[in-house]
Amino acid sequence: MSSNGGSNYRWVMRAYPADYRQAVGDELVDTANALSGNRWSLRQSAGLLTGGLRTRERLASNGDWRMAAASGFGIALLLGHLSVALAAALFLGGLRASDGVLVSDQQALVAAFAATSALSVLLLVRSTARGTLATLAALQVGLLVVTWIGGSVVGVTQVLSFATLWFIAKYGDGRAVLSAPLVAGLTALLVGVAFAASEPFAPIVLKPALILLGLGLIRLRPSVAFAAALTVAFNPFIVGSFSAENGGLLLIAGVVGYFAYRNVDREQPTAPL
Amino acid sequence: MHESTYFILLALHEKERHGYGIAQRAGELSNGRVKMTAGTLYGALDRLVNQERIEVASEERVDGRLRRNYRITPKGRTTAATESQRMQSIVEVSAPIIGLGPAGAGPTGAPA
Repeated sequence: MSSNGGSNYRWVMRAYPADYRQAVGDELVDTANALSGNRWSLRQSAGLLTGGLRTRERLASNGDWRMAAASGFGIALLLGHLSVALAAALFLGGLRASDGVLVSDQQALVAAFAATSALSVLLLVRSTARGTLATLAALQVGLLVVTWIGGSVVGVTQVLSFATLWFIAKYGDGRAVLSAPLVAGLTALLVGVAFAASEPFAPIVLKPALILLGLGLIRLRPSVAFAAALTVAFNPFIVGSFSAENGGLLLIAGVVGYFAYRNVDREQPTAPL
Repeated sequence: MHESTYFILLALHEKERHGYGIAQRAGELSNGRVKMTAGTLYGALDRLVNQERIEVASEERVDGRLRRNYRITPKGRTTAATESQRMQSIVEVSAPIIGLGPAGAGPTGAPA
């Protein structure tokens, strides 16, 4: 890909949105190669990776707090998926080690979480929005059916996965596949289903509350909510339990986000140049 | 203002440059302190373009690959000047206190 030798940084360049990459990608790679003496460089790779994610967030938010919300919570939910899968896998690993028994429906959930997480990340990185949407929607519906038949709690993580799907679909290749009202409708429907089907209500009340709080923070500054959402998503125990720590964590995340981003100028949207 | 942003403006204050030229010149002007990766450089350039402090002056094709030249805008010049004055005032206040005054001026009013 590179005209003058050096690395083409093909994989890390996937961190950039597809249309941006198409417009400026070669120039970025050329500059990275020129700066690293035409050798592959870990530093340049890391710079491109973070630069790409920041560009995604910037273009996704597009100066609009609703878009910032979608991008922040979309990424947060992706990471949330991963952290749930990891926590569950660790938990089951512990069970197996102690008494050699695995709980089968838990096992299925772990597999499902791991699969959706891996697919989310893979497909997001590869920027094939429609394929991502179709695959993940099928998986999610399957998961809902399984939990419904099994009589266990329909987790709000699954419910909110539709927001993730929408995020991937919209920003995977820059085009909206599902509209925001449709996603809102789906989410509301599923929250209703979750209410009807489950015993512990706390998480179901908690998560929309967290989101509302996040939306409130975004009015303050999108990046604050972004940071808050990421922090929340990194804590697997938020996904399924209500405690004072959850609220505290969001507060801390907001404060950290505020101080981390307070010097960043408020940006206007840029179309890829 | 972040140091690298300031040096980007400074590099473009001299003349139009393309991305690599900006990173190189910013490194020279800062005595090697500012070392940008392509990712951070273009992030900063996009932001400065948004803020209308710089703009794309021209695009050229080199070996069939697009390369954009950037130039500073009047708003960018003002920003650079303001930032420069701010830093200068810090130096003026600090020099007699720290004893690193310009032209070898030592600490004045030191207790005998």
